[in-house]
Amino acid sequence: MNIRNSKKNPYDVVVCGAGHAGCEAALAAARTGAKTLILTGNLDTIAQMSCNPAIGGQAKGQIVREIDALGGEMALNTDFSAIQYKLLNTSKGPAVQAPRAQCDKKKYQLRMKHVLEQSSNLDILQILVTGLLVKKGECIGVKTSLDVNIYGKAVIVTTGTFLRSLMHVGENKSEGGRLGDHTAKGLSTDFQKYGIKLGRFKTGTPPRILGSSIDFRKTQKQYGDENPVKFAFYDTRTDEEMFHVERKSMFHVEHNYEKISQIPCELTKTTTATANIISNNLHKSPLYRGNISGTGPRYCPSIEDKIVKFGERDGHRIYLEPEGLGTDEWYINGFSTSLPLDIQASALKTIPGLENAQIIRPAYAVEYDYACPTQLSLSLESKKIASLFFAGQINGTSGYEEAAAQGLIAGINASHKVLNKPAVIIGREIGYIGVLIDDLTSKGVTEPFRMFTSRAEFRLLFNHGSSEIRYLHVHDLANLISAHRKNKITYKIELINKWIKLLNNSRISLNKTYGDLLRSNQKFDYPSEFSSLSTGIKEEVIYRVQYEGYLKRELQNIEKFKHSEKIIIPKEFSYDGIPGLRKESIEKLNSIAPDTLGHASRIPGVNPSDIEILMIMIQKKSYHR
Amino acid sequence: MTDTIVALATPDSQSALGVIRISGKKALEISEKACGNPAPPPRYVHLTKYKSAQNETLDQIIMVYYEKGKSFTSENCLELTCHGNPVLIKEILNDLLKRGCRLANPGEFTYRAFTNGKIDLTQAEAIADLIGAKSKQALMLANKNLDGNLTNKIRQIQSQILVQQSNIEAFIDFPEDDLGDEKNRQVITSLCDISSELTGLIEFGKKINVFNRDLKVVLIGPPNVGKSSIFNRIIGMDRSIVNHEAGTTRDFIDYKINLGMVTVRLYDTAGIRKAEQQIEEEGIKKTHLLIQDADLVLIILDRSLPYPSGVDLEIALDIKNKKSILVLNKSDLPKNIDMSESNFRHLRTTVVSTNEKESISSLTGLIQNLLLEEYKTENEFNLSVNLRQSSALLKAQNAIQKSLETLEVGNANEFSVPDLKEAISCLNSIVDTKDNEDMLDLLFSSFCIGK
Ligand SMILES: Nc1nc2c(ncn2[C@@H]2O[C@H](COP(=O)(O)OP(=O)(O)OP(=O)(O)O)[C@@H](O)[C@H]2O)c(=O)[nH]1
Ligand SMILES: [Mg+2]
Repeated sequence: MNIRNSKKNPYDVVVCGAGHAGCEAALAAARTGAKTLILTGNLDTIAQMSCNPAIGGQAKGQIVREIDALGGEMALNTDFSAIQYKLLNTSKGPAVQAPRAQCDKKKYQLRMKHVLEQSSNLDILQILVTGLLVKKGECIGVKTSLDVNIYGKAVIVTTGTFLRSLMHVGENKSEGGRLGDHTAKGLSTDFQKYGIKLGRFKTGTPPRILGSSIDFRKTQKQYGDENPVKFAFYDTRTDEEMFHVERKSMFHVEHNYEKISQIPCELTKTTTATANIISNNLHKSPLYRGNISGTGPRYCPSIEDKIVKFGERDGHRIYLEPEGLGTDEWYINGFSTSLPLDIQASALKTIPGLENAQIIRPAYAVEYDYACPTQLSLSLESKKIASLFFAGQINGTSGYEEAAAQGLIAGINASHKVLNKPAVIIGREIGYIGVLIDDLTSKGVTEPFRMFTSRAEFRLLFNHGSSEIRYLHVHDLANLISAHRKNKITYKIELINKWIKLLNNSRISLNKTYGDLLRSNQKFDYPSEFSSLSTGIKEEVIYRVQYEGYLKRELQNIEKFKHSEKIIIPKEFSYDGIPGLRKESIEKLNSIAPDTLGHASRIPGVNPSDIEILMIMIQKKSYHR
Repeated sequence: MTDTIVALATPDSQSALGVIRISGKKALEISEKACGNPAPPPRYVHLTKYKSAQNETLDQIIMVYYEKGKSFTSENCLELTCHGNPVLIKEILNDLLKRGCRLANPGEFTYRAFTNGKIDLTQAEAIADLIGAKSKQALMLANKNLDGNLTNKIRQIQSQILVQQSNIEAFIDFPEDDLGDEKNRQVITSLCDISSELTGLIEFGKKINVFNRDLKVVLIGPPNVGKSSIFNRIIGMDRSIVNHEAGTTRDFIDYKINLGMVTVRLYDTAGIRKAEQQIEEEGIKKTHLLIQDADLVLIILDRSLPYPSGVDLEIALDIKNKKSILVLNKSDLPKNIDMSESNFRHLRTTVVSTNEKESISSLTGLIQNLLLEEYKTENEFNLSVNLRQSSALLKAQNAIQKSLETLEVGNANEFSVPDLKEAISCLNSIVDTKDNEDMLDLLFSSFCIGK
């Protein structure tokens, strides 16, 4: 490999970091035609799942399917390393059902690494990035620890939790973004030098224990679904597109994606004794001693937090999850902590089934810098330094899926910028990826950002099965999937529309159509031709017909929403002195400088009546009758 | 909204004083150039002369300056109190137009207060109600809304809905947390409570509508029983012709009076009997129509005469389901009437004489009490709900009902959320909407000019 380290012959795109965001970014850039280099501090931790060995879950599962619809890698990579599938929320409607999978952690990493290795247009290098090369407000490359400068026409930063990261185990502090890994220091200083505002967050991870030390008689088995819902869409792909690594290399198609043997997780609960130990040792938790300044996620609290805030209740649920087939390491979901190792151990022993638990990897908390994402445009390019893109946890998000989604978009847009193609902006009416980026750039973050379905005002239309349909139009701009797959998706959409019409119009009895019966929850037999369609298509048709009224209303809301997205706020527009606008709103609007009225409406602290005033002012609709 | 508006705030007729209001950018310039006061301290009374652009003195006036942000419209404002001569006022207004002001549209001052965030919609409506109030009760209700009572109530209900919405969101977004059926029931119960609270407000709106319109009170009875005499006594002047001959009143006569908390339109009608002339028959037909529309019917009989058989059945048919009082007049004369056979004998009965002041005032007291029978004391009401607000409340309530249906079925709770959001936004339209131009136009054009 010839790493290009000359100014005259730069890469198109340089990606710093090879986590979930970095991998998608590099692949998207390379696949859209940019000469790409991905840099990682450690080749052995590419696409590492630093926390739990699972992909998907509520809102995240939908994101992964959207990534697949956009031509990203995460879905396939999950399907090829999954050891258990579970569809969440099956007691509710399709829009909020979410696929989730336990993965073989190592297999996940190795496959992703191999995908990178096999990708054309993509170079890989293990090296530490120490700073930015900026010329006239534009990023032209990065400085590295080995005293070489690496030049790129665009740079994507996906350094996760590695900026000035500090790990805490009890009173013990050590530098590093993950147990056993390094930290990136120079970058933070450089960001600040160029006016990029940083904030500080914290997150934590639970201990890992040896499976052979678990007493499985005292825990409850959690089995996967008999008919798993996979993440990738297979009916629109050729074999080539499914097994693109497996075909070429050591990964033989031995992993039968159709039927995997799933292995169960285990469920147990904390006890009064657990709560006692934790309460008695709170003073040893850096969290409660105020040693960690960063803000942590409310929805993924440490066990200390849970005990303090919610009390003992009837115990807190603890899921035990295997980390892979080739290891006996188990992840203790629900027990993230920064307590000292000995306390971790004694607290664990109070949990049924874990009396003899043997910790093989201690829990820790990590605090790190993030770059405030309101400094990014919707393409994820920095507003402060041109040609510099940010994606993943560095933007204040949490979760592999959120990171991967941003990586994908930043990768496409960095590549497009270099290749002089228009930016790809995913609207929030398209799917969770749109909501994610819009929320980050307009609202910013006050705690590690996790996607929820409730963040998406149009979530009823975002059922995971419809991802390919919703994202098809993006491929007019970004060429990430094959023509064959595009055609297949187009055909699928036609078929779905045809059957929606058919079910709505053809009568099963004198005055009732199939649609009528479906909406009134009555039992009936579908036409045999319909029954022979693929499950994905059938489910989509039934959903659209059954909830027609609601979905139509959502579509109308989207029209209204698009209207305010179209009202552009002129760059020179001044908020100062507009009568009726509150001071607080003016400050927020000035600092974020939204592009459209819709964008402005989502800035926290700017309320609907402010938006109405702005609408009047922008459209100069003064009072006249 | 950068132009300066001006309007006469008092009636355009000869009076002691006239008040001219000015709001907008030019207010200070006018204070300087027309009133000779370049930097008036705000909220002080300034005695000065109003000089036209040609520098001739038009009037001696009192000027008050209200500064931006603290005035009614939140813009710079001037109030000029001049002498109440229409000719003079026209001169001053013309001069102000020459100086670049523009005549205000109806309600435009209030509209500006609203768009500038000084008041919300319920308060704007309360101002219109204060000006147009038909009774003391209506005034009191308007004042409560001006205090923001309705807004506060709406905001409170909105946040209750929001709490339930977030509970539902928690079921959806944290499926691992095993939030049980029991919690779902709690949400349903709370939403039912909210729904009945909305119903209560809507019903309440219907009820207090009585304070915002003229109530019709109709005097009927055979000829010559003293209907016109009683009518004149109640309104306190001789409006209707009184004569000893039967059939004096041919067409009905009406007059509006305030009776305590309500406004009453009182109708004197032609005596009911077998018609002898065409005109009189017309009058009787009209009486029947009036009775149909009436809020209260007073049946007047002459106590000094025997019971007038023959007419009462017809009236009795008309007054079924109507509030009515039987008034036995001419109590100063010996009693001759025998009610034992009458259809009216079960009605609330009062005995009066138009010659006795006391008896008439107790009759008006009775009228008031009966009109307000179903409305308790004034303390019961601490806010007001008008028709527009009521229809938004109804929409919100329907949306909540719809979300409840979804939740009861229980297999796709996420579909209840759009309905809850809709309910919240319907409620919002009561307090705070600026993008519904048609509605706002309608609302503010019902104001008078100068307000
Ligand atoms: N003594 C006595 N005479 C009364 C009283 N009220 C009215 N009258 C007389 O009764 C006569 C009829 O009175 P009106 O008020 O014209 O009676 P009315 O019911 O309006 O008659 P029509 O319009 O003809 O139907 C007049 O001569 C009145 O002066 C009363 O209380 N006492
Ligand atoms: Mg008369």
